[in-house]
Amino acid sequence: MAEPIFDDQVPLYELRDTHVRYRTPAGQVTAVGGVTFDVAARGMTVLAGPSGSGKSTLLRVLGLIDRHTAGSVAWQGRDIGRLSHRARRAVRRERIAVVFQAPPDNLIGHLGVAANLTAAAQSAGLPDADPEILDWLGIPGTGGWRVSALSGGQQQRLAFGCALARSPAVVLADEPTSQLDAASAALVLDVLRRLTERGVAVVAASHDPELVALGDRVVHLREGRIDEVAA
Amino acid sequence: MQLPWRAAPRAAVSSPLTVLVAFVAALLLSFVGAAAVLHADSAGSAAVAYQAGRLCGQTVPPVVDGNRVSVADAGDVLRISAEQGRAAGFGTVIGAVYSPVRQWDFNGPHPWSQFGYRDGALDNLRVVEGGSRDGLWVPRSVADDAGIKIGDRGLNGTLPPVTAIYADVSDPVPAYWCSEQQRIMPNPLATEGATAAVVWFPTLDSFTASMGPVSGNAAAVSVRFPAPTPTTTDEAAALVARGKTVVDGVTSQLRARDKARLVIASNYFAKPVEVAHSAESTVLGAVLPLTVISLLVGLAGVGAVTVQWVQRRHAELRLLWARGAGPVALGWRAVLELAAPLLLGAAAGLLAARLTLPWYAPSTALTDGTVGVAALVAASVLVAALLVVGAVTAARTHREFQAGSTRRTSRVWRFVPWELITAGLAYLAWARLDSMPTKLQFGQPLPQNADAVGLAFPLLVVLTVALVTVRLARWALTAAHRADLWRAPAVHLALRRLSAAAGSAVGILLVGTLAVGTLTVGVGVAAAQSEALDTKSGLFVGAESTAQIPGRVAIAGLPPALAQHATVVGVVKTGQSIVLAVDPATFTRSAWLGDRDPDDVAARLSTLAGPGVRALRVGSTPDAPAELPRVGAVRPVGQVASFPLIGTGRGYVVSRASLPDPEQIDVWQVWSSRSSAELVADLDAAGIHHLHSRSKALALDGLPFLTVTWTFDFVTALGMVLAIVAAAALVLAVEVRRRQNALAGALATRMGLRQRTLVASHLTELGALAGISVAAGSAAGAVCAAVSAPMLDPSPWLRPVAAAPNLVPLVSTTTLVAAVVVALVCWSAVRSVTTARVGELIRG
Repeated sequence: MAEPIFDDQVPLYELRDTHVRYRTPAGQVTAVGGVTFDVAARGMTVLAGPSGSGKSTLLRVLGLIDRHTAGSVAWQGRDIGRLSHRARRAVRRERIAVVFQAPPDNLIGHLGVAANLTAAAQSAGLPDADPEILDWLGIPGTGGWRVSALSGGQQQRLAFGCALARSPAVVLADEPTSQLDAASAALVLDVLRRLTERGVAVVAASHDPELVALGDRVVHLREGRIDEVAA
Repeated sequence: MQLPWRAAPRAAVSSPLTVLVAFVAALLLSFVGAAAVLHADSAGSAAVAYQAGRLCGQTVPPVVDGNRVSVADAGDVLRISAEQGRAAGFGTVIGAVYSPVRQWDFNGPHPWSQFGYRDGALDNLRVVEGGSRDGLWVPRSVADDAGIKIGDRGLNGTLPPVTAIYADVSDPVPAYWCSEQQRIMPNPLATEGATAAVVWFPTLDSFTASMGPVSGNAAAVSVRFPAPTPTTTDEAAALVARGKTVVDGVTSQLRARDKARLVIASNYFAKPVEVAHSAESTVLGAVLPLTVISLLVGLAGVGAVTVQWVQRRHAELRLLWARGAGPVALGWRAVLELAAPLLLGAAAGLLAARLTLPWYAPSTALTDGTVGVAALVAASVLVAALLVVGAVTAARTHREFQAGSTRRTSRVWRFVPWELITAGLAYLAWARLDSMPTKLQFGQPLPQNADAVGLAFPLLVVLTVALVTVRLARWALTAAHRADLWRAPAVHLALRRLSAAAGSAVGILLVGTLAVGTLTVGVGVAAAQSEALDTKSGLFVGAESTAQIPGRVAIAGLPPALAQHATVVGVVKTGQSIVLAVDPATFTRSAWLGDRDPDDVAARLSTLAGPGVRALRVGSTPDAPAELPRVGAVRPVGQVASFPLIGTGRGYVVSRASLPDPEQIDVWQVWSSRSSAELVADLDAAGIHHLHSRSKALALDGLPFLTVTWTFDFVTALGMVLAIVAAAALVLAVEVRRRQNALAGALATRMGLRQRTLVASHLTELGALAGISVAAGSAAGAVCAAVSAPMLDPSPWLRPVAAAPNLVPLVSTTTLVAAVVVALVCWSAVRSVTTARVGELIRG
């Protein structure tokens, strides 16, 4: 019998003394220098901190995009450091949705709005996206539009719609409001809140106070280390 | 299939430049691959056509000949041959039977003549008088000599009556008679009774009835199986196979009757077909290295297009990867998007290779299925290009997303000493060329073919020079980081741009040097061999055409019509040397002088006038008075390195007018600046008997020269393709950096950089690439052509040995074209700066 891929009684992530180091022409750089915390299977966790604090790096590790270089990171109790490329892809495909900082980076530009939702659903093995998603995002009637016809805020909301269309266990969002004006950011925050209400875990990296305020748990980072964990 | 993959083909239209570049890359790739196949096959066809053209058309199919047979046996041979010929698919069989040459009695006169019958003979003669087909047809020469008239009956009235007098068949004979030329044309200069014109019987039965009893076992028989001349190696091979069936059938049938010794059945074209196949494989083998290099360059271009595509689609690829797609799936995504332009490009390349065949190939006749093979090659190239697209995308996405490495494995390739490898291969090719030269042995009837490995030598040298140029350029650009040339801002800016884009710069240098080098060596060697063939043929024959004429005619002088384009030359061959007795007044306008100045030759010949027999000595002939057989004492008054007919060998040239006794000369020839057909026609019109007509065009077996020429013609074609690639790469290199250059240039000009400095910097940057390519490529190509041309000469025994032609016009043209390309690309780069809106560029 196959091992279950998701159990909401188990923390999504367990990080223990996790390090991430990069090699650069100037030498080795420690982006994350030994962090230990858990991410619950429900609610919103915010990685907060100033630029260069390691929050985006940590988010990429959680998204199984980058690998940690020391310590351990467990996904649903399994050490992801030991997972093969194929297994990591399977976890990303079936359980994780990532929303990048720049809205256009989350969408396929040559596909229309509805097609982007369909593509997102198909990438997780689902036949199609929930037809109500556009209404839920507050951009009804835009299914036939080109992506470029949407504003930046609408594009970022559509990015979360695509994430939702994949029915993930967790949505990882990297600075989702940093490139938006206040009104658009507010709409995105609303989407994030409603995502958590639907039972989807959200991990967001941000230094936006309003987003930080939304977090059920806030992990404050400074220079790659945990400064404070607030509930 | 998920939507992003399903929609990929349509996504291609969102980046027209990538589509265009992919299309052009596939077009060139497919063109090169398909053209190599078509060209090699075309070389085989050209070899078949060339060799068939040198033979009488009736001897290309099988032939059956017999001498000293009885008329009855000749009848059997004709019947069996006709049966076997028809069974082998030869619809027409031409049989002929001849009586011995005798002084046959025509009721008084006994002219030397022979009787004969040949299928269709009466349809191929020009009647002068009479023309009824129920009697004998007598040649005019025989009728005039013996006073034979229409109605006369020979052999005491036992022969049918003479019903027609026809014009003698003259040289060059019509195609119908070509295989019978030696038999039916009397040779007035030969021993009396050895040859004679033919009195034709209207039917085989009448011939058999009349000649059977009187010919004994001295009749002759010939059977021909005329067939369309083959145009391809396959057609030629099929004809030879059918011919073998005939030869075997006739031989076995006659052997069963114990008459096999009576005839010789031959298939003369079998060996030329082998040679044609060999020429085809030689050309293919020789062009293969450069074709493979060109294909690799093309595939590298496809790889570069893919890298650009990956950069353009980076966000989408990262998104798909973040959603769980693997590198292989992303590679497949790239293939689906670029497949259409690549497919269309490959199809266009195949079409272009077929349509432009007359421009680059020696023949347009192709073996059945060759276009199919070319299509298969084009398809293979397309598959390779698609694999490159998939593999490059998969590798890049794996490295960037999955492995998280910024290290480029491609840098490892830089440390491989490619130039040493190609230099080693060039040395091996040189050794092969030196030890197994492509030389035709004197007197050998069929040529050895050129050696493919040896032919690759010049290309390998050019490749080595291109790689060395690239290596030096890379070192120079690396070192240029420390260079401070702000005192010459244009040079400094150019150097900085080149250093920043060192990868594309050295790529352009490699392709550019290779292009110019192959163009130069291709043109150089091909022209050298063509000129060598022309020069050797000219020296070998002496004039465009020659014929032997009776001494009395030569001594009396040519009639005015002939003297306009012909001159008389007496030839005495001794053991060591050749003596030519020429007419200085008409020699220079009739003999073949090649690139010699006719006035110079005339001036030298004018020194022959004067007392005694003055002579020009040729080659290394001793500078001392000599006693020559049939000429007498000669006194050298000058020297020439070579002379028509004598070549660079030993010999003397004397004035015909100074000969003490012209009748002592062995052979008198008439040399003409016109074709053999025109010369013969004029001789016939003047009533001058002649024989041994020779033509410069057919004097030498030129196939070995042509094989080398065809090979390097294709090298030239590939050089042109590479030149297009280099020019396109130059344009692309600027276009890809257009935004970056525009921003930097626009900011620099707003900070005070003068426009002319900006123009000068771009001219310096692009001019350096083009200039180095042209200089290195031209030098390598010219040196290689000069070194290789003599070594590739198939008949060095016949001087002069092939030498590279003057390549200055080619190099000048190449430089001019390169300058135009540089100017256009420079204009485009400067325009992008002057029209840039800096605000938008900064905002990005």
